[in-house]
Amino acid sequence: MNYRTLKNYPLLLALVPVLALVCVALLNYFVDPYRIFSSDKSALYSDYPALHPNLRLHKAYQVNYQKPDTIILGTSKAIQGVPLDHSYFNEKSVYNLAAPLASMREIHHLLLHAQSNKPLKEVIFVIDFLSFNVLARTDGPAAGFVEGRLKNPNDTSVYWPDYLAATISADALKASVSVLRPADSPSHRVLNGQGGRADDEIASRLSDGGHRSNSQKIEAFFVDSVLLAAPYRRYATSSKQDDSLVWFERFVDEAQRLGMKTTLIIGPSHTRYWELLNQGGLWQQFEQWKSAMVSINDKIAKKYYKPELPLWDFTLPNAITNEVFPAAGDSDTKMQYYYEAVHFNQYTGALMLDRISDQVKEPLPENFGVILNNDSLSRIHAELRDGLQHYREQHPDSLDELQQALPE
Amino acid sequence: MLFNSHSFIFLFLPLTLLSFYALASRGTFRHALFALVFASLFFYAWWNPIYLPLLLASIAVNYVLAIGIHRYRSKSLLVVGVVLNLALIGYFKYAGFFVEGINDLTGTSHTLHNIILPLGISFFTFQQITFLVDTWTGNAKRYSLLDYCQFVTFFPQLIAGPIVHHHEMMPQFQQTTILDNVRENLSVGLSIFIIGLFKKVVLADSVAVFATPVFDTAQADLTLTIYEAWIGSLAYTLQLYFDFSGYSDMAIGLARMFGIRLPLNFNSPYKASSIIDFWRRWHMTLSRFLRDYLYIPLGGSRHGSFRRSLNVFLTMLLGGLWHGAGWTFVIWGALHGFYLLINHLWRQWRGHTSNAKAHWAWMVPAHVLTLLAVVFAWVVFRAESWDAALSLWQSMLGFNGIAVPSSIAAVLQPLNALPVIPEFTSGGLFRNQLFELKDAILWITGLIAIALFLPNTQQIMHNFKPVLEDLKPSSVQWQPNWIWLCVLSVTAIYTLLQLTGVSEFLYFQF
Repeated sequence: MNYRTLKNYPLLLALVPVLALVCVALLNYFVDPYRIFSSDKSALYSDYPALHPNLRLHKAYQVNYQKPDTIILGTSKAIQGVPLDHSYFNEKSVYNLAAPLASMREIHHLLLHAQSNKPLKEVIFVIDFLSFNVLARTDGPAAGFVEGRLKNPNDTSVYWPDYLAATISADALKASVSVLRPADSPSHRVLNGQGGRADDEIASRLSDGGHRSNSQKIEAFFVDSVLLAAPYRRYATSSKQDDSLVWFERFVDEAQRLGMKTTLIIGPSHTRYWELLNQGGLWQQFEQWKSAMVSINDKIAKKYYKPELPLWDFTLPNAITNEVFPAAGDSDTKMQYYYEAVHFNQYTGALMLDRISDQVKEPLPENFGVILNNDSLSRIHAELRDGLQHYREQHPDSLDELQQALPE
Repeated sequence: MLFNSHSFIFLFLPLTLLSFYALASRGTFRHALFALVFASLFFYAWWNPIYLPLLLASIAVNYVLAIGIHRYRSKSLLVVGVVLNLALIGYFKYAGFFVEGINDLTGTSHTLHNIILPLGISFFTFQQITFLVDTWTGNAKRYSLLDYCQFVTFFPQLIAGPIVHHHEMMPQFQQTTILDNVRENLSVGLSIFIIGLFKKVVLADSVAVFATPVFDTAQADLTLTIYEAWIGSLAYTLQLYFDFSGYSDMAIGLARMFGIRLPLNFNSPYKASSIIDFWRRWHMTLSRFLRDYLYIPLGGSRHGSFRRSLNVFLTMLLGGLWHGAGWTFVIWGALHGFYLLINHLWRQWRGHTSNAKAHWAWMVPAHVLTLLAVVFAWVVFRAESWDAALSLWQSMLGFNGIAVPSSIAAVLQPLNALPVIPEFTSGGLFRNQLFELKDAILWITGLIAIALFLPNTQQIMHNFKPVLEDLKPSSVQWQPNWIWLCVLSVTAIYTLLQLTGVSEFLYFQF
């Protein structure tokens, strides 16, 4: 079938796509679904479904705008567990720069990025064992780390691909539509203007089976995708291509060299999670990991003739970390300290901040937060081992559940 | 600057077209050509300005040598030219490979500082060798420096081909009737470019996500299941075709926007019914180059069947090495050389039955076998090491066991006692969790269907002679009308919105 030949075919074929793209770019710019063109510290982004899945992009640009003097680094434990409204952060311009499943390499680059925007006064780094596994998957929740977008002292140039992606891309268009039509978007995680999340919003997601059920799901996920992730099914702090302890050393070196107040915290996950590591055959590596951090911290302190960075360990068994889990299927009972075994809640996070600031307002177990160094290392190893032995004896039902989380 | 980059599509290309046609419309075609050469050099320098002098020096030396050869009929000058060109590519592309080989053979540990491979060196070097050889044999005229620069640097084909021949390009650069068909050239060129861009950005890049993790896993010395290995290999087979043919389409479309027709480079190669047929359809300009400047000078088929076989094998071996400095490429070339020998022997044994007369009962297995042989060979082409390729092949052939669902494994268990049958293992069919199975199957099936059953770009554009060669037209023919405007506008918008994106994650729990 012959249709009439268009005289202006080439002009139209060039102009129609360009005009369409200009419209898309303008829409995306004004809707700004990733919030990279503006900043609002007091915002609660409840109508931005694409924000949390792209929080690495979002946070990198928010740091550019807000230029905080205090940042929080780490993984999802830091995002969910550190309360930004705690008095610890009074008079500080704080931003939570943590990212889910962030690797040690990423965390180091985030530190440089924030520092390049404005010299930092303080850093709180909630250290995660999983950040040191160089064989962990880089897709899933770890996706989205783009080294080029993060500034460093030698390169503070504009990273244009982000601006193109946030304006003339199908992803951005979809994200803008989700902002304009929130009713069509499924329930999503809500970030606030300082990069954190609200405690009650996270807790509201625990209705499907309760704490124990949620623990089982996330334990299976952590084992399968992070700690013993396919295809390697191994945990290693170094490979031919990468060495996470080297990145940690650079991190500590940077903090000491610049003299920024830096607090390192191994967060208060539930004892059940530490037992999961044990059941997964990772206990020796877990202890070696702690030892290596102590050693690096000591080495860098000596290099700069300064005291070691405070390395807090909240892993020891006590009334908080041994909180009893509700029975399976019990979705009514609310735990006081945990969302599930991996993630402590913001009440626990507040207690953690109380401890490190020596501002304890209520009686806390003595071993909830101890300094990890060469002197305490062996004692802490032994105490945690004993605690796990005790946990196994007291909770045989949990052991069966943990075994189910492990790969065949 | 890649053809599929924003800077190329929205800045470089419009500005180059505008300046070219603005100058041409003032009746100064040579100025327009000069602008095009300048734009091509800028295009090349954008990647790494350091190598622009190298390209310019290569052009200058070869042009002077060509004048000398033309004037003095000097074979010595030809030898000097060929040696210089080979030395250039030898240093930049193969020096590391040879040093590594010497180290392996002698146990030494010579090191070479990191040499960055200049973009397109394989293309512009061999194009110039052909020009020198043809000048010496009297098959090339003497051209102006501007025409020669345009021949070597013409940006649509500078970096990734097609490998053009002076006798098909030079006359086109000398035409002064470029303004006679501007509308048609722009219509055809832009349409082909959009189709090529779609093939590269949407099809090739989408299927790549199923290939890359499979080859990375093999490189990491991990064992793949038979299903993972086949999916990865098929995905790469499709990725490479849509990527390379998409890029060739873009080159053909871009050239046509300037009124230049390029030679055909891909003619639905996976529709081939034999390996000989495959090489008449895949990277056709390279095949032509290898035939004319390697196979025939080696003696071709003029000295009996043994010499012909040897020449075919050597040509493919060196053709493999042309693709990259590594043993995997040599092995890939050797494998195709071996395929071709078998194919020639088969034809001798069966007689020269033409494809048209062949019965479908012959043709279907022939097509399937050809495609399988090609897929099998692409494994070593893509693998980063021989060990990785071997591991993938082992998995594809079932030497690492054939995982079956637990219920079936129990039934098949007795067969494991037989020595000739691969071992059946229980569960873990996709144990390495490398991709979403449903997505992989959908993409691979869809792209195989496109590659095998749909007409190619040049067949669709046949009525407007998109390339120098003539092809059998498809029943659907492109026309510059409303229907095609809508189809290609939507394709362009969709593709341009896929040029970049954000890496969104799905978080299982929180």
